[in-house]
Amino acid sequence: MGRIVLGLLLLASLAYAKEWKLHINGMHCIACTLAVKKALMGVSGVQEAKVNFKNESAIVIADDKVTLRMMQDAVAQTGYSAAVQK
Amino acid sequence: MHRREFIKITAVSGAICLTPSFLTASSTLTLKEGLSVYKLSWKFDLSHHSANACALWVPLPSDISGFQRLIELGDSTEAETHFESDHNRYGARTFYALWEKSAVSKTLELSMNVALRDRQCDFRPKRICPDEMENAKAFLAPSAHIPTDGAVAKVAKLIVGGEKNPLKKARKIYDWIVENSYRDENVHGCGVGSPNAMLSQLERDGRMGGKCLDMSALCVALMRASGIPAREVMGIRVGASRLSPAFGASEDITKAQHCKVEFFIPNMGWIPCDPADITKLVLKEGIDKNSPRAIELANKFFGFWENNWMALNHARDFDLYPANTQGTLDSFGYPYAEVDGEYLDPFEPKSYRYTIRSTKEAK
Repeated sequence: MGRIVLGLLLLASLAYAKEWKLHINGMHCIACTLAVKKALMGVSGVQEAKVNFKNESAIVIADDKVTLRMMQDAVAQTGYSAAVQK
Repeated sequence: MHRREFIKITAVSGAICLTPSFLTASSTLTLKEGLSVYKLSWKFDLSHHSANACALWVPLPSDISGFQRLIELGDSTEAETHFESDHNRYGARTFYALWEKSAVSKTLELSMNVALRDRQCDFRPKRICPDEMENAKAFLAPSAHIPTDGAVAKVAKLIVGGEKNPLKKARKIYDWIVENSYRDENVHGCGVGSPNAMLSQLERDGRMGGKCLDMSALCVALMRASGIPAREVMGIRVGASRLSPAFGASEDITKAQHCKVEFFIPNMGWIPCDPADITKLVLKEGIDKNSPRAIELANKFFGFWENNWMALNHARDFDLYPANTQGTLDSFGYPYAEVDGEYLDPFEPKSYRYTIRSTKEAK
């Protein structure tokens, strides 16, 4: 029963999750991806963040309540900047 | 399939390769005269990434004629793909392993024997082959992390002044870095190696804090800006130092990475120096930079490296082979790994799960 409830909760969270593709500006080496990932994962409601140095990008899976501004503020705290990738 | 391979560069051929410079050299050089052999064991376990593909690039020791030789390399792994290569811009020797998502055991064990000898430059002119002269010119060029213009050029000019002799110019730069920098233990790993960040700090605070890659990168940038070919040499301390505990390592050398500098003088070849270790000496021994001991070792470390340190490569701002997902690598002194294309922090060996151990072979 517990597993079913957990499964339903997971499905529900995925159903309300949104995928963001961000452009990350200012990373000067691969190690910078760690700081950006940590900042994004620190935003309440972010479930997953994958950061790529070569493409200067991040793919973020987050709850509906997470806004672009929340992620931009978190990334800015680490000295980088984020925008929606076009 | 469990696979264990040993690539024996020698018992026999290694001895032959070592013969001219290490062992016989007019029968004057014996094992007691500075040659040490270290047995190293690198162990990686990425099995906790059970649902992910893992790729690992391990920097292997280079061969430096007369001073360093990898005499045996063995590997043990169940990785689907694994091989040794030096197919990159700097010829940095690399061991590569790739595990598919489905692999249960994602482990790698590398064992190696490395012969090391003290490297002491006598600063006497000698014949340098034209190829080496030509190859050295590549180390005048700027790279993504080694600028030679702007603040670097300006400061280099101030340090060097009207000096024309390249060796004296190099010494002025070395002394200037020792004088103006300090070791900052809060810096992660070996530092980021950004000359401009160091110079900004100097402008703001009147001195520069950092670790070996920071000071070495600044030294390289200033030398290149002054017309002296120079490069960082990534490496690792493999044993105790005869000179100071500050320069040594115990058996667990997982966090003993250290970067030095080499610069090129046309009639002398590549010369080592190490401004960063003088700042480490000052901090660890609690001595003054102007104390007789610090001055003595600063003089010694211009043209010297000890045989308890093993060089890996001088690669900087380069692309790995096979290609990684994250792109151009800043430097290659630590094992580089990706899990489903994401970078694994090598400065956290406990969560990364790797260890490096070293034991000195009895003479």
